[in-house]
Amino acid sequence: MFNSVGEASLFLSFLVASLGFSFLCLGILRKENRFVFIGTRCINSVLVLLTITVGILIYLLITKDYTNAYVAKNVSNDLSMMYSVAALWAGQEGSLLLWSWIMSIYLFIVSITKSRDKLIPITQASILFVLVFFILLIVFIESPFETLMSPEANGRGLNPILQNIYMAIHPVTLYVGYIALTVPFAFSIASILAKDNSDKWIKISKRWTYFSWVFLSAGLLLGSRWAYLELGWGGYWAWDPVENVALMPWLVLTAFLHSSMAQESRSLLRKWNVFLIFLAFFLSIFGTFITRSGLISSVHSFAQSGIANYFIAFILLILIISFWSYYKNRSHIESDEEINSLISKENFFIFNNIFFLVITITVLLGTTFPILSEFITGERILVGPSFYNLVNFPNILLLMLLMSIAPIVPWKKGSPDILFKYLLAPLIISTIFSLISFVLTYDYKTSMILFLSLLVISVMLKELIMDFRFQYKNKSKEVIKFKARRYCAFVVHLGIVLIVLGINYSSVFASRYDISLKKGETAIVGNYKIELTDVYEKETEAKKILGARLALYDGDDKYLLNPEQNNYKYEGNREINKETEVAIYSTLTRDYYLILIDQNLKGNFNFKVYINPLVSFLWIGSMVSIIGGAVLMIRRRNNYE
Amino acid sequence: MSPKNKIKILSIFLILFFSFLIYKAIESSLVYYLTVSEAVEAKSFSKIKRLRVSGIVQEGSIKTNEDGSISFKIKDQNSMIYVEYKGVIPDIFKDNIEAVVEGSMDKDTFFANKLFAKCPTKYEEEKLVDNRSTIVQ
Repeated sequence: MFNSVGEASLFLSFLVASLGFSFLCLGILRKENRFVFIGTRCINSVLVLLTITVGILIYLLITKDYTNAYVAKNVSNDLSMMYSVAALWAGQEGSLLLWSWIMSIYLFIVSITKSRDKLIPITQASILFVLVFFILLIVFIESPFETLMSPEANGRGLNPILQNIYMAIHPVTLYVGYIALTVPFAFSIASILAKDNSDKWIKISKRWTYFSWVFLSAGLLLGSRWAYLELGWGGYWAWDPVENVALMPWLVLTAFLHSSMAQESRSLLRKWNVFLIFLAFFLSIFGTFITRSGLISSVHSFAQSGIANYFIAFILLILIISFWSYYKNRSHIESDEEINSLISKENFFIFNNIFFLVITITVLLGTTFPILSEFITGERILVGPSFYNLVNFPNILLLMLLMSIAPIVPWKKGSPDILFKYLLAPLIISTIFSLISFVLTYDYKTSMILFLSLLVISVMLKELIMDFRFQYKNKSKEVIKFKARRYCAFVVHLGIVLIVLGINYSSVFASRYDISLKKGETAIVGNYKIELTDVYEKETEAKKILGARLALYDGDDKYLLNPEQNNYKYEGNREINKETEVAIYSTLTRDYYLILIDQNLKGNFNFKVYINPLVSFLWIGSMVSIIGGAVLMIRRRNNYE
Repeated sequence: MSPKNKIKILSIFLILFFSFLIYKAIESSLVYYLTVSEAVEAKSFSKIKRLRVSGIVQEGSIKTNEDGSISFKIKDQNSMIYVEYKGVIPDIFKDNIEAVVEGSMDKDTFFANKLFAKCPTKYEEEKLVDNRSTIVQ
């Protein structure tokens, strides 16, 4: 019964969305507000209908109604309530539905503005156009409401490696960020189509871009945290195609957030900003396409399905429409101003953009290399992680250099002398510490990163100290208040510095050991002593557990670790029957990461031990950046002037 | 020279630098992706240093050695190769799944230092096929 209601409301949402799109177009072309009004009403109805649809699918998942094919495929009787809800985005059909629902919420938020701006109806129509495509996919190709004639008593269940709190929320977080990119994209299209030659679209959509950035960052953080806790190879980022496609829109969006400041403040880089937001949007659609089509083989390898061709058609259509409108109205987005000095904030933003785009191109090239090489040479060739590391290292250094200097360089024209004077003290401090680091480690790469990190931090500190002194002397609160936005940006930058440090130290100075122990034995590896104190076997309804208790001694500190190996008894959970539970003891300075591999023929237990220094900086830095971004977003007011 | 031109020249210089870097990086990190049959043929020409080979794990061929390393065979329709591997074994690695190994070929043995197993979500369609054919719309 519910199944049919879900199917009906889904289909109805498709009709209403198409109708709404038609009315909006009619209203825009004939400049008649009553059609736009009807279109807006349709948008509200689409939200209601999709909410009902999602609600019904969640209900079917929770009540484990196995007559529904999607439910049978993604949940099982022993699955908890939380993961049953999370199964909504475990499969393709549910993901696409969730995607559309989130988009309809955004569309609704754009629609409830009281502004009578001429950009709004075109923006609504553009978003609705994308939404119609997604609903079309769900209704006609990937419906989550297909029924099974002979339902089984139990479903196939959720993949155990996906049963992890990070994995449960990570896809949604990424979706929320990805989809939010549609809004600034739609505003930019609206601005072009309306031949609006102000910088209004940037200002209106700024909050959306921050919002998207915050959620994309959080999604990336959760994803790498999940990989670190669950996949058991000691790392958090593997340059896997699926990770890469999530990273690319983030990179372009970050570039956009910087260059759009040049447009807000000086009306510069107008064409460029339009191009960047187009690119970010396309990369987000391209990402969905790559992960959902099975075109590029990845360790994630999602189900291959018939939606690939529709996606290609859709991407081409959007490409043609957007670049055609861009080309036709290009004279309206010409910048009036010019850059007049090499040492100026606007110029540094250009370099920032070059570096971000080079990273994006590198990632794109690396991801699509197997396809490209097969197309050109007939052989499938791929590039290893060293490719990304090699190209990105100088990029990161240059970006950090910019991060230290650009914030203190003024708009229009800066003086090299003043700049140098300002930088003198920070330069001396950073040089001293990085030289010490070089003498201690003989690692020039780490010392370079340390030098730039310290430079960024000390420059920010210097500004803060000067501001506080100024405020104290003049007894006014204005300075700090006036510069609040700037301090938020500093917080984001500080987070990025911590991330870079964390990545560097945890990859350069990580140590890995293989040990084999009997119960009660002790092994000494590096500076650490590891004792296997206990081994146990447990059985639950779903799995057999082999566990070990170990004590790791680092100097006087003792850490207790408890790695496990799960063997699922039935194969319902999608062919997977073995699952490793990593044991991690995290401290601020290093992570002790232990995996129980197996028991060998002699009865010894094999373990892998990873000592990863400063991984905590990566997580803390990400949190700091995200918080900084979130505050920027909240403080930002949507100004429709 | 006007600032605009200076910026242009600097940008072109940067882009050339990065193009060169990308080229060098590609050259040094190339991995050839082959099927089992192709890898068997490729034995003869040794210029390919790094290989990635994908194939189905032969049933019953997985053996664990004392030092924790494993050996197994992967196959496709025509050929089979013997693989030795030491490292973390993916949870989903077992008989009859698609495995991808990365390493180098020496005579008839493939020495792998990376092992991937195709993620199970890929298989989500398989079991339901029979059931689905009875779907009524």
